[in-house]
Amino acid sequence: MSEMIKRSLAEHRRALDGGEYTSVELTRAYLDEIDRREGVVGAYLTLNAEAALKSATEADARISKGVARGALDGIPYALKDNFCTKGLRTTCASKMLEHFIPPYDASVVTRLNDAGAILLGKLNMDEFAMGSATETSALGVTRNPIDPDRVPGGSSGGSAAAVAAYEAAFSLGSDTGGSVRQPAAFCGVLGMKPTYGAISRYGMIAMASSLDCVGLVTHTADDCGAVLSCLMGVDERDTTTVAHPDPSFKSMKKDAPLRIAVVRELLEDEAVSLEVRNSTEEAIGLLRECGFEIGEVSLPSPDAALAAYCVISAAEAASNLARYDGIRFGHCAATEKELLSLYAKGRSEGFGSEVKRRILFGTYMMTEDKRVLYYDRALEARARIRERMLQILKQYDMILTPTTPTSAFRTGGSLTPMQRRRADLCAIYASLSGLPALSVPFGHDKDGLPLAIQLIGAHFCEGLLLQTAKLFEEVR
Amino acid sequence: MELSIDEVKLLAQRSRLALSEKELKKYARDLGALEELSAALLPFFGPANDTEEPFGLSDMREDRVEAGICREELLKLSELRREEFFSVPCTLGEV
Repeated sequence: MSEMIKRSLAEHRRALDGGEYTSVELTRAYLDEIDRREGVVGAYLTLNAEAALKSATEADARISKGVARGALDGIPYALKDNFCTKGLRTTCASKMLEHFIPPYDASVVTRLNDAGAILLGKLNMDEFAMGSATETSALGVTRNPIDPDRVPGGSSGGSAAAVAAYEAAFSLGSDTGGSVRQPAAFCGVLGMKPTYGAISRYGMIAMASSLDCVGLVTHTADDCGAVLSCLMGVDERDTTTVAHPDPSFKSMKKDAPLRIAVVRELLEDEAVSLEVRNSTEEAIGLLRECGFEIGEVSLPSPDAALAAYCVISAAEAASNLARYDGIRFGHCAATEKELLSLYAKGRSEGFGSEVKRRILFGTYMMTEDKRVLYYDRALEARARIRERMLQILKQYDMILTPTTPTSAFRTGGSLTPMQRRRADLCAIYASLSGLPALSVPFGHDKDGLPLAIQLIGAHFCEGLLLQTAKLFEEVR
Repeated sequence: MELSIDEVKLLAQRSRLALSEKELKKYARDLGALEELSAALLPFFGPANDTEEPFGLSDMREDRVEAGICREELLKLSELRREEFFSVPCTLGEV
């Protein structure tokens, strides 16, 4: 492996600007690593090699003239395959969209293009972002680069695996209920879900619109800050976007001791392994030694939070995926002559088992009686969770939890769907509250698999999370 | 508790999915399990006096087809009309 691909974004910037290597050389180095490791890792669904080298040549021309576009100019990255890319296949890892070539770019792609970043390709994921192991993908298998017998997590498993395997300098994923943070934790890299509304989702294929966020996977906190700064901001094509009060995160930095809240229920939940518990306690001890003030807080029932997430996300997914009828979008069962049969056959052929399950459950939850019984309650639960989280974040700067209850589990469906949903336990509170959350690698289990802690901040306090993550990097 | 096969058939019809017998049985079990998980919401949230027995899908009113707004009325609402159609701004480079 070329050593150059192990460098941080800031190091790449210095090397590119200083003429140590060119963007073309850097892009080739990543493409070589993809070539070398993809047989095992399988992070990519579509490679964009030719266009990437062309973009790299253009970046080199800018850099040599001293007119580089900023921190990301000439740096190769990759995208989860649910971001629309003009002229480049976008599948959502589903047979439904296997041959879909979007006529436009997602806003984040436009921003990264404008910043001069080089798109290496599109990454595997759970089908329509529904899953937590990247095993529901209809188009390929992705394995954890740390241990190929383990899953990379999901749904953004390809995004985490590609960065962990040095097959891209950074990647984007989507995080609805932990879909970036959990795979980042499983693969030993940094994963961020920013504040809901911080980054435009225009062109990101929707799963559950009130929860979906663009997520970032990087090696370091500084890398994450650089990519986040490039992507944040108002986009008139996504009305949920708002301006970040401090896009450079400078005012977020605090010298006074930060106050951290630990959620005891999550640490002591039966799903949380002893190793995760011990590692999280160790992280808490480290923060205490560094002068952080640690307190304990309580959150509403984890079971109710998990249920609220399941009900809301399924209801929204069922609605969002109604557009794939074979006529407007998606696979068409062309042999069917009658309209309703054409819809039903095409959807049944195009969607995999997990997607069908969630569509059916979402539809079930939106029937008149179940809506009153469960969906309305789920909305109420969500409001109360958000209220409680905000209340805690008035007293504390951050909330600390494990990112996942366990380390990466074995491939081959070793967990039941229910156990997999339990794996989202620690991630869903930030999702339901629209709060920023960062998964930071911390420690390993007895098999050498990475573990991670999660830091949750108040809205738009990404800077504080990154500042704290840097502290963990220093002691690692 | 498992759903009945008829309930899953009805949900599949509403979800525009054509399911095999095997799938119907599998989803009857899965949806039942998911509903059990959702029951965690009941003790904590919702109206305190919500003691009525929930009714099943079969108790719901039947779907009815009703007359909608007619074409001419709709076209009157259009700011830009071209013959018998709405005219809308072009998107994605259409001419």
